[in-house]
Amino acid sequence: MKKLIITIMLFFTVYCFNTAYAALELEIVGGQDIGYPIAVSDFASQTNPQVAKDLSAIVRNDLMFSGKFSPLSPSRMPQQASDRNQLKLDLWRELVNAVAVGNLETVGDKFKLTVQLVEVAGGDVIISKAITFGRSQLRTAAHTVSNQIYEAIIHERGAFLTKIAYVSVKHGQQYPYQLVVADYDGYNEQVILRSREPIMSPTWDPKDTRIAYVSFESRHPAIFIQNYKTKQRIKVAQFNGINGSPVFSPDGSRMAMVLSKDGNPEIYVLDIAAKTLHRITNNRVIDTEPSWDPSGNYLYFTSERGGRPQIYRVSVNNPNDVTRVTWDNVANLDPVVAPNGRSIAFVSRVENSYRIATQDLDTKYMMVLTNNKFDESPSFAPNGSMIIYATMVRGKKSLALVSADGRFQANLPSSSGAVSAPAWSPFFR
Amino acid sequence: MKKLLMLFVSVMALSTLTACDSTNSARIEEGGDIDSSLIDDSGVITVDSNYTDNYNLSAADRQKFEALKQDNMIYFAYDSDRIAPQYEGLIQAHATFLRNHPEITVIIEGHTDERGTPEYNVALGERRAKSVALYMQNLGVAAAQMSIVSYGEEKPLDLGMTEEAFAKNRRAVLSY
Repeated sequence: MKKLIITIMLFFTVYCFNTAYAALELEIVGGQDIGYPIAVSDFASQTNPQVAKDLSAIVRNDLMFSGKFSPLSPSRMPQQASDRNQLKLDLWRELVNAVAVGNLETVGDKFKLTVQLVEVAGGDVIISKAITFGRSQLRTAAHTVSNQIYEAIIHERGAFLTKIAYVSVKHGQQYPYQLVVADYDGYNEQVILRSREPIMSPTWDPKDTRIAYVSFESRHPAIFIQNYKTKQRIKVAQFNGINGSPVFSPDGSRMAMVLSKDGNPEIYVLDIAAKTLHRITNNRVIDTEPSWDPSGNYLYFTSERGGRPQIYRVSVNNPNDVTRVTWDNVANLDPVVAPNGRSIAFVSRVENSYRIATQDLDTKYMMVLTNNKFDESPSFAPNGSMIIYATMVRGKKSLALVSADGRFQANLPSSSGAVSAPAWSPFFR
Repeated sequence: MKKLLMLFVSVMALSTLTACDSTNSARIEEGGDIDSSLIDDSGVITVDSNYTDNYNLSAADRQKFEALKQDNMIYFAYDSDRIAPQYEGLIQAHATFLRNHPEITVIIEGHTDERGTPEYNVALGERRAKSVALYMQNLGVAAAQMSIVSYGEEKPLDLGMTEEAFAKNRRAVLSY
């Protein structure tokens, strides 16, 4: 398949959105032409044509970013149209399966965007929606349209209104280590914590806007929970030795973590409200990197108990119930369970390279998705469609995306600093 | 003007290496919500780390101490926590100083190279720190003077992605 390298520097084209700043840029490295063929025509507007055009560009970018669509480039569009009646379907049939058209009006101090999605073959209107929004909500409005299109065509929930948390490191600054929350596409970056010492392993509460992470600010690691909206922060663990790998249970009431207070790294489960700690693993080698399955009954984790690190599953209620999950390749580490619970993504060591892989939990079928050398920290989008992870892009720690089937791949090179440890948020209500 | 109020976190009480904290309940700070004065105008929580040493040493001992702080790294082979013979002298010098100054405490840091996953590397780095701590303990340094911390791959000395850079990053650091 033809590999295209397209760098999209959206912050040049949407210069008018002065509150939005993206330090991450999307760079598609594979699978750009494999998705559902769609056209998002430039939205029309009597009063704010540039804003309308920018909104349609965000929608096109979202759909491409999802890996499930191949949006037609505006330069290849045979006509301009702002609603269904203006569309000459014959012109589009060779090009795409569906066309989105839209019109932006001003209503008081707000915008109203009317969007229709038209199936080219039969001319059916699949979506016809109007949304009203404030001038500071342009990106939210565009992502809302993207979600509607995604859901109509793909029949699963779109993740365009979700967030990512990650760690940014800028050596040489007073506070080199920063914990950042941004829109899923890298816009609207918000630093929520900065420190002279490392910050690790951010992870979201699946039911809330809370993030847990490890901070070395006291020169020893401690696990904190911080609400990125209210800024409230509590320390939940600071024992002797390692305090690492925090991960909330699916209902947000418990947290699995790794502590070495009893001698070597073991997995524990903390009941957050009751403040009680339960030891899950107990042996003389490293056990780390727990991830809950959606039932909350099992943890998948990395263990050296078989020699090299491999992935195992343990029952939280019966810690003697342990099964080995991965068998292929030299080593497999850092599992994360897919939102539907049917597969895991993890880091697989292939000779001397560390790559993102998945394994189906029923069939045991394992698939290496990436072809890099230094991949780590996989995290699923809440709809399971994509995996975000950290890797090296041209010698710099950066984020990257791969679709869960491995076909679509994109880099998110950072325009400043080294970026790692991405964590994709849940859907927010 | 930008208000920058900082949280000075006291260095946690250093305790024994042989972990004896076998209680079954986690320490959770009661009412741990952060004070609003710790948040600057942009809403960022800034945490600072304040750890200059206040030891009262003679001029000669101060000079010796500052020299030890400059010569404090033990490098390791790939996937190893074995202390190579060329570092025995360095560790001996630190151990002797610590034996003579029981009021001084040391943090033994463990580090790995960039390869592998961050939390697994924290576990591997801890082995290196423990290996040095055990060596120092065998040289007569009191366990109460030492604590260990593993940063895994989070604090590389060399940001390069070459074998040479990796070798510089696989280290233990005697940090005061």
